[in-house]
Amino acid sequence: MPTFRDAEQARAILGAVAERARFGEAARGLREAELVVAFVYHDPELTVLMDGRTPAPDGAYMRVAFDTLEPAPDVVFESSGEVGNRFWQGRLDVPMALARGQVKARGPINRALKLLPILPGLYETYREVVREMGAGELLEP
Amino acid sequence: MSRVRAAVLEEAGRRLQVEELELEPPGPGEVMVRLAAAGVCHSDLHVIEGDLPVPLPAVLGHEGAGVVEAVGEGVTRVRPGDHVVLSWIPGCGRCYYCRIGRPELCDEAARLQVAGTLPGGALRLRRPGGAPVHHFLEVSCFAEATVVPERGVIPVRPDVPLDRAALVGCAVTTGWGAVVHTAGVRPGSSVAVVGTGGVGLNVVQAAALSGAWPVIAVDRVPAKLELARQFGATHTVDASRTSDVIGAVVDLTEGRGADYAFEVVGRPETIASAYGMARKGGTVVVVGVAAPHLEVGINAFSLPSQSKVLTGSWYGRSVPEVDIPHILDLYMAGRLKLDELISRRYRLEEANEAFDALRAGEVARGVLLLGG
Repeated sequence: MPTFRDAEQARAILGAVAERARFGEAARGLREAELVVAFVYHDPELTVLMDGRTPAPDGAYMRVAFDTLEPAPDVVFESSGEVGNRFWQGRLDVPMALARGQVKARGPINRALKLLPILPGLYETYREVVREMGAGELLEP
Repeated sequence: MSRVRAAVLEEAGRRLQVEELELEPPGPGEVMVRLAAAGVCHSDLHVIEGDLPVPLPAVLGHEGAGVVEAVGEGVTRVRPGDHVVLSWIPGCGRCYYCRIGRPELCDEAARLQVAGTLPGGALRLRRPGGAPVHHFLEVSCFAEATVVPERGVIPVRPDVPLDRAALVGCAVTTGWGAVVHTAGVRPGSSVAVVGTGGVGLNVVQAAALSGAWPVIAVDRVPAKLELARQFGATHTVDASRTSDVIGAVVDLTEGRGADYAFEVVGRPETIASAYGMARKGGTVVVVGVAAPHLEVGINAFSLPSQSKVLTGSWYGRSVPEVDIPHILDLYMAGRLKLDELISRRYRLEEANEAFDALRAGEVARGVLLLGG
């Protein structure tokens, strides 16, 4: 299965996705739930912190930071970068991935899983960004 | 009293040392075997590295074959000249587990594994001067000759080359039995095998012989995956090239996961992977021997919600007296591979090099040739 070339590529792609999504429906869901969610990836090593609790100065619904766990996340999802890439393009059955151990979760994940139905827009944004960055090999057919 | 050269482990973390020891003649119910060959197994390596505590000093080796040289009083199973494979779980025949047909779980054999002696506390190996050397798993076949309990010798047909026969003492029977006895793999079932060393290759070939399809081999060493294909793997997953082996196996099994997943490495992370790659309601068989202090984390909700069968397989849940001759018949009939398992042959003095190669993942099986 395809995966990120390195942490820099993962960070560039997810940074661009977050930038476009900060005012979107998924971010608003995160804000309404007042959740801070961290995605901890291995191979490549990268932490993505999506903060819906701390107000953003420009009125965006969420703030995004890399390689930090401040403010302390409510929920942490940990997986390989390969599984992360699958998730962001909407190709991962999250409950099944949790059961199989492909994703390890800590915290009240029921609150985070409630956001799953509003994520498809984000998946599309991810696909757009990946294509624009010339990294189409990351996308599954 | 005989003089024999043997590879002795003085203490964990040290190299093996080949020494001349005194071997006492077999006592009542015991058999002396002149050894021809011994396989080099990860379980011996666990002892060398201190992960498996047994009484030391000891002569290691538990996968051996040779020729009976002498028998003690009351022995009827074999006589001098018989070719034998050694069993490292000589079931006592009297305990609860032996009586219910699970000799691999024999209480007395387990007790003697920890005690480092033969039944009754006997020690037949001594250093010149009389200091005793412990037995290992009632076998101690890294030596020119050994004394074992009568129940630990399995008579085999004399036309089987003994270096091949030795492998059936552990690796082959363990892998074969995990498929045939523990899992009961049925034709058409999908099988995933994590780890394709000496035992894993035998899981692969037993699964293929059982009519499984696909048979998916997972390993980090491309050469081992290539060998797994020779042994019947229909697909391979190179774990050095993907960090999601679970997803890879799920993709190869119509998105479900394998009917049967076998772990043949003995590490918490690979046990968790094997559990994850089995389908809902599937069977997970842990064959690999992990160090006794390690623990495994699996998703708690999945235990009821996915209703997998998670079990272990110790010595392939085999009955050595039945399975070992049967496996050798299959080999002689050309139905089962043994020749290809032997990656390298070594002299007794090269035992440490054999373990270095095993540690480095360079061999399926190394075999010590012992001259008997």
